Amino acid sequence: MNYARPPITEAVIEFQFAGECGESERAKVARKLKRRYPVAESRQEITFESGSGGANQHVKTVGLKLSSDDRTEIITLSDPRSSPVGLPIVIEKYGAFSASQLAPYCGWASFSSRFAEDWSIVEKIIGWRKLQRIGVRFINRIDIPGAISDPRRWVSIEPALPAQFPRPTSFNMRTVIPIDSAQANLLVGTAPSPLPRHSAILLDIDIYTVSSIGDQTGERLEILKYFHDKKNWIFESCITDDTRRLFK
Amino acid sequence: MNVMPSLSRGISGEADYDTYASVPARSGQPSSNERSHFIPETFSETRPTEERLFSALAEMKVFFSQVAMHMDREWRNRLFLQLDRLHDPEEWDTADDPVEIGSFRTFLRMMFLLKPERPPGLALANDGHLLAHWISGRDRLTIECLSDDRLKIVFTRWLEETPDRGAIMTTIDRLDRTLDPYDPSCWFEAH
Repeated sequence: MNYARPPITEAVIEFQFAGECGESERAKVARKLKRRYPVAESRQEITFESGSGGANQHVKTVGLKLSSDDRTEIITLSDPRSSPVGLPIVIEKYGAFSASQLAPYCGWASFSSRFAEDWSIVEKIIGWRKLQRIGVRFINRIDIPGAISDPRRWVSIEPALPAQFPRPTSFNMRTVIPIDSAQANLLVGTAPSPLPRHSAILLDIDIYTVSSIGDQTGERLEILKYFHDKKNWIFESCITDDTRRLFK
Repeated sequence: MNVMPSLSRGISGEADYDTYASVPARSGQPSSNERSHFIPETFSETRPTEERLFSALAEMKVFFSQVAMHMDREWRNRLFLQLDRLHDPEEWDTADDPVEIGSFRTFLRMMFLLKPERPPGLALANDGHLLAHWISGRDRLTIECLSDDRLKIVFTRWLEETPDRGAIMTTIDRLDRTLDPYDPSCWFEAH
């Protein structure tokens, strides 16, 4: 369903891939995409080491973030990251290319084409990569006038509590739902609203797969479209008619 | 054992929301998450003024995106243009402060409640406070937006050939009641 005022605060499409992409490749991407994304920022990791010989500081650039002038269209290109203190902990196992669209959301057709165009440029620079994970994530914040006295008026899911408990004043739930060979992370919870005299419920839907990812661009884009359709199905199943009226 | 599933990485504040971060003070758990930060590439050499203006504008535009679905798109474009002009590095006096995010937040929340048909002119006051002003002939209204929804209002309103002048401290919640005796439609409604 198309809404006049969709509650999407951020839409994300992400490809995670094996291997690193060097600083020179990221710089090439920034140059190539400068017209659409004139604002370039680098993601830096700073590590401090101290020993008997004194303290050392290491600065490593591990990612690139490019933004449009109004900061609503963003892409990031990141390297894998391990624990900065040398512990065998992996923070981000794979490199990743992601596109984000902050509000106002421009619609799937426009957002997915932007991602496809940008990825084709990135892929030419970093070379073809085997994808480890494909994800489509939509973060919705439903702004509700006044206080939320009964969450069921706005969303069809809430925690099941023992009958003798009073109704919760706030809640946060994280569930994982299998969707064919993919999975959907569904995060639902009450949250503060940035609007005066409003409360909010966050509905964060992230659909991803780590298997059966095709090697051809066309196959990958088909998966994204399928995830988007499933995201819409989950969203519509989670909201009520009162909520739909808020977006019109 | 259940493994916490991975999330696609996002950019906005909402993308960092999770069941742990949103619950205040869980026993035995650190309150802050591991975060990394993005540094503007243009400022590899030290240019403090440009860096301050860049950061202030970026913060305001990202904050606007949180409420963009409730705001008029045409006004959004006009507002961004006004903010860019207010923060033009070529015209910038290094003694000035860019718009402070708390002031901008108050301004946006006020605009959400007011929903004026006529958008305000904007200026910058001391301490990074955003000034919104409406002028209609001899009738003038200036609202200085402070942090935490506080407002400083100065106005001149001609009613029956006699001007009322006032300076009032109030909040966005009380603004409509504060201005009501002066028939604020002369400032906010399109003529």
